Amino acid sequence: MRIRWKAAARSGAPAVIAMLMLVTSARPVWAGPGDMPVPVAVAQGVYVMQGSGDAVAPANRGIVANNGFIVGASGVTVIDTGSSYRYGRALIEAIHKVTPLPIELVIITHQAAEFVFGASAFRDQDVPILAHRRTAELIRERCAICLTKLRRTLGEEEMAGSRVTVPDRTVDGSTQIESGGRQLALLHFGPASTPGDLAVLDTSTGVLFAGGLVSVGRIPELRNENIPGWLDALQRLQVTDARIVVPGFGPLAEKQDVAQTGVYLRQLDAGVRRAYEAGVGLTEAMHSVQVPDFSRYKLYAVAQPQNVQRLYLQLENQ
Amino acid sequence: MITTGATRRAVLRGLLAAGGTLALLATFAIHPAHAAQPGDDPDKNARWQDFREGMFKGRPVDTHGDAVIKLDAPARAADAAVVPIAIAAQFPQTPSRYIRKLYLFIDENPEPYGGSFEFTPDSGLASLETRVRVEDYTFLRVIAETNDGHLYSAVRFVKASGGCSAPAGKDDAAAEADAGLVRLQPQGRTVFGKPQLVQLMVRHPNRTGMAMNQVTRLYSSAYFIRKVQVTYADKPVMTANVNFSISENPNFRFYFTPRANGELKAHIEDTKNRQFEAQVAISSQPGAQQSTSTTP
Repeated sequence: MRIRWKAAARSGAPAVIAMLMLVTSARPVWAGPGDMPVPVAVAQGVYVMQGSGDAVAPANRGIVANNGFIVGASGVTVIDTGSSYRYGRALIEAIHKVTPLPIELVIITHQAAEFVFGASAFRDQDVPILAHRRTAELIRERCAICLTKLRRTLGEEEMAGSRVTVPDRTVDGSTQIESGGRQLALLHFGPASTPGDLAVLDTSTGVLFAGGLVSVGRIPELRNENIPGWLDALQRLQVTDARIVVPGFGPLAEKQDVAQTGVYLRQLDAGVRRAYEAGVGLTEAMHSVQVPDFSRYKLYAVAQPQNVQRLYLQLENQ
Repeated sequence: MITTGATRRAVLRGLLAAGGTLALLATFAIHPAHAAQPGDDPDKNARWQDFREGMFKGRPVDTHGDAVIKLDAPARAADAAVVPIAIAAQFPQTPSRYIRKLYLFIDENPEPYGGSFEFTPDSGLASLETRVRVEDYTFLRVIAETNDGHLYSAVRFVKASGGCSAPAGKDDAAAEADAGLVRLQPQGRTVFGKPQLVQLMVRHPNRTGMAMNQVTRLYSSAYFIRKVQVTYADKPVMTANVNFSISENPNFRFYFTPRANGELKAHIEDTKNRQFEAQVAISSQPGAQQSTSTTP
């Protein structure tokens, strides 16, 4: 089922101000590095658990990405699950402290190690797990490798119980679902940050979980991206009814902040093309292609050369 | 070359079938938790010590070889199947003093010896860039042998932490059918007597025989380029004897010194004895130099 989105932003200054206050007050509450983030209410019934935004490392126990849950009249919908079974278990406990309502559904926004492995804890409780069909396929094909690498990085103990959990419900495109008594719009704009990105919009509050599409204050790691598709998806997010954006990484944002991810992608792409066309070799391009506007973002030192390599090799194979 | 426990067993079968050594088996059974760490002493690595003994006998290897070669490789690689490396020679090739050979050794790879690259005074500069496969966390080292027989090494530690991004696996038959397109491209303007950079690209799956095709769940046989000979005016400038340590679609950047108009020629052989060639005419006249690729 396809849905259409109203281009007009909702009006009403008081509502906007109230939402902005929510955004500013929704800073995560940290007990200490590597501890579970505490769920923070960002809108009525919508909770976000914000990761550190750093690279996965033992000190942060892999709690780097954002995830959240939506408590409706009859049940809970979880959006993304963190990087380990242990985190998934902790997420379930955190939800039980907020509400006695049952967990009805898990939605995985995209295939990336920091988002998928907590799903095993929900599978143990027979909670349905939904993703785009391409995401489910990539999890089946690729995640065993990601899991091996995560075990290497975080250790066996931290990753104990984690396993590749292939979603059992899939969608092929944008659709609207009812889950736990809330209307959720699942938005798929075609291949973007990955082939199967979903963004999840809670229609009653306007909270948008942007998954892999948006990264705030952190360089996105290009893994399975399609840059034109990604830029298009970011533009189309602008015309949704979203009022608060929960990025995959980094602090909550307003809709206009989403554009920064696109600015980075454009500058990166242009820089790599210039170097490639000038005959600059790959190793030198990885050193010399910089995107200075984003050099203070998290992960820049590691992700920037890797992103350059990825785009350079794509140009070479054309 | 990213392997899980199950694939490791299959790899062992593959190696046995390929005539792999028993010594390799013992090393390969070690779990990643025991793999190299950046703080390890690179000189104490047992596989390197074995190789050094076998290849160089008692000859000393100067581990502070910065005056001869420098090695550049990313500390963190997003894709273990394509890790770019750049070996920079620190002096030009002259008949009286030149780098004769570079050896590539990647400690933790199932086959650590990646091959060698031979140069001559006609190479101009014994610098080389290529892309290699690496296994997890490893020291990667290059040993330069100068014409006086001395050995110098440069070492880098590489963490190949990626793995989520590798393509889901191409159709092997299609990849083989495409194999053999060669591009030989001199870079910049030709000045006689000056080293000129050239890029050689070969479309080839360069399969290890150790990776599972994620679509078919089968292991394909090893199939890779084993020899690359580049000549200018019929004199060798770069000869590579390599294996599947080189990434898919092998890519080499190196130098040669043209002294008069002539033909730059690349001759490539793979493990099925297929031969590929490309040549390009070099002259000091400005104008685009296009290589022609032939598959005899």
